[in-house]
Amino acid sequence: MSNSSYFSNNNEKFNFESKSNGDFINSLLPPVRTSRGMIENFDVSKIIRSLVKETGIDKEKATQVAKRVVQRIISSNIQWLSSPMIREMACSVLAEMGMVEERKLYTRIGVPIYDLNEMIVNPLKHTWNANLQINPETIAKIVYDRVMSEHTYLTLPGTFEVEVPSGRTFRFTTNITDAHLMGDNYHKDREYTSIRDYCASWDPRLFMILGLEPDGLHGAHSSSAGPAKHLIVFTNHAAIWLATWQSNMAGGQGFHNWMESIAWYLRGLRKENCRDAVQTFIHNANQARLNMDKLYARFPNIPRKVIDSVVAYVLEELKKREVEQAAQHTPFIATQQYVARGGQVPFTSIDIGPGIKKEFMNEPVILPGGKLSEKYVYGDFVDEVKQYFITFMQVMYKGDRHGKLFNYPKINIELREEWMKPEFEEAYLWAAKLTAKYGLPYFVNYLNWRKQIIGGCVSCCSHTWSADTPEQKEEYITGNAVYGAIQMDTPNPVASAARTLNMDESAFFEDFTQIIENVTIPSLLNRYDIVKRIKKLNLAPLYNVKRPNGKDMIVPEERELLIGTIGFAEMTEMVVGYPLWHEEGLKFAVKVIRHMKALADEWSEKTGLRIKLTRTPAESAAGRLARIMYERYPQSRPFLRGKYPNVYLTNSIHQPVDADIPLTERIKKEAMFAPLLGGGFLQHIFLDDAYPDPEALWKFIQRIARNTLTAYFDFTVDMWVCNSCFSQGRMDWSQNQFDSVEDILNFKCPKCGSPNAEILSRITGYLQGLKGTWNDPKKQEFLERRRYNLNI
Amino acid sequence: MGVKKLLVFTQKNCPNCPAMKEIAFEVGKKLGIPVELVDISNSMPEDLEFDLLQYQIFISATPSVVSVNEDGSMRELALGEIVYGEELERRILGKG
Repeated sequence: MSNSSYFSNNNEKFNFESKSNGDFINSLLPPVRTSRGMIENFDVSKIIRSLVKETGIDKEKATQVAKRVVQRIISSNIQWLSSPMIREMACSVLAEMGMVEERKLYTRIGVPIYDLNEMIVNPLKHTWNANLQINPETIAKIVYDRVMSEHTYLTLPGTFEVEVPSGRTFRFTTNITDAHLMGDNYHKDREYTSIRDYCASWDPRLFMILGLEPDGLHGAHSSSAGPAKHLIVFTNHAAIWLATWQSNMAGGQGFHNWMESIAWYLRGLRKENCRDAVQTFIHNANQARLNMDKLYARFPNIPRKVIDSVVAYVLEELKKREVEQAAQHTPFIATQQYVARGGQVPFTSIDIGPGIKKEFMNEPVILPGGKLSEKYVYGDFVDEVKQYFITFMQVMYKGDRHGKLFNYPKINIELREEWMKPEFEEAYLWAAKLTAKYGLPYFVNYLNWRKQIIGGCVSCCSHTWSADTPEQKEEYITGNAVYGAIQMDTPNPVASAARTLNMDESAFFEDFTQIIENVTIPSLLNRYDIVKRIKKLNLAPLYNVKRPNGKDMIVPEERELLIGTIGFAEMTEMVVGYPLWHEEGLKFAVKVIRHMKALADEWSEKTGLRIKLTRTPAESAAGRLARIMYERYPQSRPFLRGKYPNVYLTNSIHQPVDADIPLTERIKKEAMFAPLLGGGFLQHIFLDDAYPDPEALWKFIQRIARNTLTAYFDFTVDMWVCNSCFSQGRMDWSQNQFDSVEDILNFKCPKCGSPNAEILSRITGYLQGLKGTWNDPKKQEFLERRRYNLNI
Repeated sequence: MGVKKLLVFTQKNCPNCPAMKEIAFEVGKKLGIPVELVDISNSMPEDLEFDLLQYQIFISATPSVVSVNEDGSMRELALGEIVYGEELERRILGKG
């Protein structure tokens, strides 16, 4: 009798639970290579037990599945077995028996061996994340991303309940995964959905007061450092703080109130008016632990005043050097620590200005450890801070040892009324010089409607935050403020426009509202619930560390839930038949934003959470969504940008990059949306190869800031760098023409001809190399960008 | 370019709005410019908001004053603040 006929004859009566029968069956089957890394005897009861445990089906059903699996193994005479093989067979049986949801729960997530081999030898081909570099950790990250994204796709709940701060409980029945896969909604950072919060902006005074324990467990695993007492220790703690938080979060990590925090450490820098030169001298002497009496005794013939003057001069010079080194320390460490999220440098930013913000001028300085100074207010350090700002700009201007730009930290330069004075002109001119050379800084505008914002800051690619309540304002002043978001989901208006093409406008709104209410909002609330769970289970101990004011570092109820924006340029053409730069196109886009904002406000009210609109960075989403639109909705093809397969959607509510409109019109038409996107909106100005005059550029920056509604903007300069001869320069567009994205890969160093040369540009809210890291749709966008000569 | 009218944006419970209204009416009367009140307590009229945005004006706080020129163009004169008589006049006449 064959094994298979044995089963077919006894199928219904055979008792797997009988020890003798089970042992008999097991003895017929080959040994199994188990996931414990051992070779063990086949044990059918393990299949039954795991099915019951992992899928929740009853024992009877599990036994039926196991029987079929065993039948298959015996009938096919398989001689080599592993746990994953048995699981695959069981999944196949579950699917055949109609248990689709149970199959999802039982399946094994992994990477095909062929793909894994490819990832090992060519990792960057397997990611659209332009921030990744080639190194062994990157391979770990790519494998991790694949596995965890798949986990997210399989486990995002269909029906779930969320309790919200308003006291209500919402029950949703939805399919966030399918909406993502079909391009209706872009669920950002799938690989981190179940385990991490998103992005944050921190006040450095948090570690200045608390010290540094990166494990969040009072130094049980890491060492425990007290509050920094010296400048270089402060900058070192700052770098560790951001790297540590980057390991706990998916998105960018930034600092606000950097200048106020560093101010006290700059004591001893010579002030412009020398009004407290004596104090400076005494401070520096103390810092250097000089015993002046010994010095006088050693040089009895030299008048004390002369000794004092010489020592003061030397100490001032040493302090200047110390500040220079601290300023250098920040960008070097930000671009050299390949420690976060699989061998990336942390995605970092700092908000800086050339002075002390007006709301801090009369506030007592918070000293290391948290005591309030009885001697100093922040306003005492305006000169030192300005000098530090200039030094920092000079360091960034000089670049690294080869003169290459520092792409991190992102430098967010604040434009504030209190610094629009002649005494700050030199400092801002250095920012303009840096902009003219590399296009590095980002300008955060507080000169227009935003002048009333207190506690404003920016972080990540383009998000902006502000202190909206008296409690938040108090936290901002006292070093307790933590801003940021839990998640960003982006409903795709192009999908709605494609489905309702040639229909009435109201059909578009109905479709788009369904995406937002049935997918985007539930997805955001699900993430809120996940972050609550992470805290409850203490899976990220740092989240539960107390701030100086006793609050947890991460309070889910205070964090924002962001609804992203993308593809408005394509949407307006599809729905109203006008481009976004036309008045009718603009009117419709504003109407859509107002509608989204009304939904966000309504859900904020219902939930008690902070739901806001923002610009989606979309370095991956732009290409991914366009490709899905191209394939699913052929009617959308004429409206997509680029050339298939490298089609893309225009970022956010930006004008198309190739729109033939004057620069001022582009800036104004984009800036109109800044007040409506409460979660942040970054505008780009793409420059051609001309080198703008820094003074004229600074005037232009002020005109943009004062005369438009812009909140946050940058100037993008395309650079090349050669890793063979270490030369670099601006892309000369009269000499470089690329016919296709593939052509970009052929770019050679204009100086030495080496192919080992890279093009650097701003992909979205950060700078990266095109050849090595940009995905193809974004490369296509790069080719189509209209670059402006400022002509100023 | 002649000024066609002044728009004064107010809200309920806005402490400085009554004063700004009074000043705007006084100055408007003096210069022969009509004054229109826009209460945005509940919401801003959509068309008006779009026009303001096109001229790079966003009413983030009250009281605010905007001048509307004969050609329909708009100019922000005050944003979330009281601007007193002579200063408001200067701004209306483009000298501020």
